[in-house]
Amino acid sequence: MLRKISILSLLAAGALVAQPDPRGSIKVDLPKDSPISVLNAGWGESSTAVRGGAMVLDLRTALTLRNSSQRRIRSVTLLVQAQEVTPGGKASVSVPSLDIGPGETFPVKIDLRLLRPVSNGAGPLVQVALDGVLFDDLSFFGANRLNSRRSMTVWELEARRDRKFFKAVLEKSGPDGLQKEVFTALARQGERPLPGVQSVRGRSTNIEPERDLQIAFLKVPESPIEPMEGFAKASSSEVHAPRLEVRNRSDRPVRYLEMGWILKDPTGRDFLAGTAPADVQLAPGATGSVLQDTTLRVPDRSTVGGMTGFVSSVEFQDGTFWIPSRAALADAQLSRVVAPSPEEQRLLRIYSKKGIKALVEELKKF
Amino acid sequence: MTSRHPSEIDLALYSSGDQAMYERLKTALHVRRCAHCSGRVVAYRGDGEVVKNVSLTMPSSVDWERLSEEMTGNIHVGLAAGECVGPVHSNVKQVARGGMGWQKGLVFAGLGIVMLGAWWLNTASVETTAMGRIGRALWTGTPVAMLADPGVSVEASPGGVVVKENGSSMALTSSGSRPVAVSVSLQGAARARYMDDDTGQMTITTVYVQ
Repeated sequence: MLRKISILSLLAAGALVAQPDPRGSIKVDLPKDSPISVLNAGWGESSTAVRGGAMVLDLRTALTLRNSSQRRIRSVTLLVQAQEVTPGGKASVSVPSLDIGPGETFPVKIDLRLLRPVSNGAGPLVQVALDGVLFDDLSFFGANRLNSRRSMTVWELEARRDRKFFKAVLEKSGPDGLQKEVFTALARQGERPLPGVQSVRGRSTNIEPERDLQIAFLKVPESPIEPMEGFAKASSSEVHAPRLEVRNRSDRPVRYLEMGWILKDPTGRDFLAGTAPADVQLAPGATGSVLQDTTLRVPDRSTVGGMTGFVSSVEFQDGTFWIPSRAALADAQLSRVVAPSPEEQRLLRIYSKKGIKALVEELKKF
Repeated sequence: MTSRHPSEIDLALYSSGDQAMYERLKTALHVRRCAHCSGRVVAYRGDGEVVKNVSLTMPSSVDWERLSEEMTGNIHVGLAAGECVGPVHSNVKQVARGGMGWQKGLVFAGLGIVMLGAWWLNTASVETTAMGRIGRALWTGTPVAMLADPGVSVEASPGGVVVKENGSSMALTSSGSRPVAVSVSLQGAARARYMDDDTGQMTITTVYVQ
């Protein structure tokens, strides 16, 4: 008994010793030629807790950054990491739909939880690095370790598409027409299912018998990539190793594509389960295979009834992108499951909070 | 001189050197001081010598050939009788099989409890469930696919982003507000979008398991 008490006392003492001094526990690394600079990077309301051999970092802070370049910033991605390897140690925070002029400041809110070993040496607990900055001319600056250039470019293209759409509605039908369109978008957003889906790298545990599942495809006529056929291994609650044949029907070589995967729940309702990015090398007219050693798992008591794929974005060899138009997204099945762009959600929030006049003013900005 | 004389058996054993060491020392001390007992010891030793000499020579009346045949015949009769009765277990075997059986059972039961305790303490519930399902599948004869590493998974749900491993999970995104959209990437990442009510700024948090 005495021995147990001693061990527990030592563990408790170790945990107390391991509590770090929050001051100086967050470090922001920016390159010397960075187009943004840090004005404030405090620990904020962040806290730490030791659980077994791991330290849980609850990061709740906001960095204040300044655009020190001569161009307008549209999007920023920061890499936030407590450790490199173990799951839960690395995350990123992106802020799309910005319009930050030269010399202007803007906040980046960090609100997430990271894990790191208790004994991870000296130095800051969390390191924040700049992964990328996207400017209004779609030029990019940054290390791009997280492929943030692609994500931010797609967000910006979607933002331009959706702003253009709402501006066109405003010009054609006035504020009343715009309001009607906003109602439709809000209703669609409210009806969109938001189930929990797990992504597992590699093969997952599954003792259930599997079957070959033929993947159906939503045809997007304007898409430069045409899915030909696809199969996946499926059990009742998992789909893994999807493989598909695609053809480049554009006149430009393609180096990257992203597929969206729609699953059907037991009630027959479709939901967007996830996206599958793939690096490819497809010359004009060429066909190729895409195989991914990944698994999608739907929540408990759900079953996979069917799988449908659609091309959600394409990157050409020259670095330009294709995204679906609003007309393509108006497809009945797509409109039910595809999430609105970050910009559309932002515009709808402006309407919900401030009304139609504020939305009109926002659309007139740029 | 001691007040009590050793018994006749002790004296006989002492005379033939068959007593235990302590008893032999005690008897020797007494015999040295007791003329009566010393005489008894001498007498026993003399008898022993006589018996020894007699046993070295075969009595003349014994017909060795006949004795040998009778002994051989008795052995055969004994073997035949044994085959009729069946296997005979010695008392030692009885003890080993019957008397020790409950002890073995107790030992194995203890080991079983220790192993179950170790399993309960160290094995994730998801693996226990999986093993149970495998057991049921084997029992019922249904097909069983290969069992592989469950791996680390990242889940995007209306509550945010959660990393799961070995049946344990941990939320890695904001606990204070609900995301306006979530998605998972098959490359092992999950995203959650949050909207700041005050500023209207959109923040997208991505958690990576790779």
